[in-house]
Amino acid sequence: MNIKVTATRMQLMQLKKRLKLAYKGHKLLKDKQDQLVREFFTIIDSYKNLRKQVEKELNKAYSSMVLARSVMNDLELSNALFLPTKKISLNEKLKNVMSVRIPIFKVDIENISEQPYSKISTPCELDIAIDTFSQVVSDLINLSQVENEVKLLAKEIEVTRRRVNALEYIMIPELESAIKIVSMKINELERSNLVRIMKIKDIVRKSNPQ
Amino acid sequence: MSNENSSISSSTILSQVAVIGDQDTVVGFKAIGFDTFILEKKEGEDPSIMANKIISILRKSYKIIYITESLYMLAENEIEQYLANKPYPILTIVPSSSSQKNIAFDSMKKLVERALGGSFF
Repeated sequence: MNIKVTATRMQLMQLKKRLKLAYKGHKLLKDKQDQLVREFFTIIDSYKNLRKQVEKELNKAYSSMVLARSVMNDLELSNALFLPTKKISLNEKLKNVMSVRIPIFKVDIENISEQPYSKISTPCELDIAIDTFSQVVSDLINLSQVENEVKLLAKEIEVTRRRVNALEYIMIPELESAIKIVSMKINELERSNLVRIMKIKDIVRKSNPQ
Repeated sequence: MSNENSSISSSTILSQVAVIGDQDTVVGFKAIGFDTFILEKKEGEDPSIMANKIISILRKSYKIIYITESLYMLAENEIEQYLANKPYPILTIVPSSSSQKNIAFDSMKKLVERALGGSFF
């Protein structure tokens, strides 16, 4: 893609204006990219740790559930767990990181009722299993939030990098070369004009010597 | 469509958080107030049917959905295509009770590599 313009002073002025704007935009976007990368590195570590921790906790919870299932049959289990013991509500807020909107969740865990199932007819393993599961909840939701943040930031970094590169390697060099071509043309016109005037002057002098 | 929905365990939205997975994985989450959807791959079933079922759950207005690794693997492309440029639901991959393959970590690694042009994990 080449910028095609007519070689006039007006166009030259406009091209220079566009180049200035492109430089400004490039600088701003570059700053944005740097800041995004900095933010990204601060959360990536916490994400890694959180992921590992949650997976460990989940495994513990799964194995406790296996224990509970080993002492009850499926029907009993599904009857006991027909009603949830807790109600989870998420309060969502948006955090703004370099104009990327990132949802932040506040988890409210509410006990609906102390005992949705009978403690007598169910083994204590079930209580333990539910307990371990409820310990995971807030970490699990936290993990989703951080993972989402990492994803959004990564996407934004990619987009910003493309824009910076487009400005740096395509837009700015093309504008510069267009400016060069136009100013060379204008200079050339000026020189040819000057030569023409000189020639005319010579002819005029020769035709009527004083 | 109605046929598909009837095979999914619960279709009304009670919570803002849902779990999709096999019976063993999902049962514990039900106790703590997540909405649960039990999907299990049957022998010889077309994977696109499974993908459709998963997408129909994603269409519901949940904020966060957890999905087991094995189900995610079955319909990875369809899911990512559906989720692209949508703020919700936030899909998080969790290990299931029987298999752990670190898929969430690997997909995150790929994403980071694409964004920064190098591995930082």
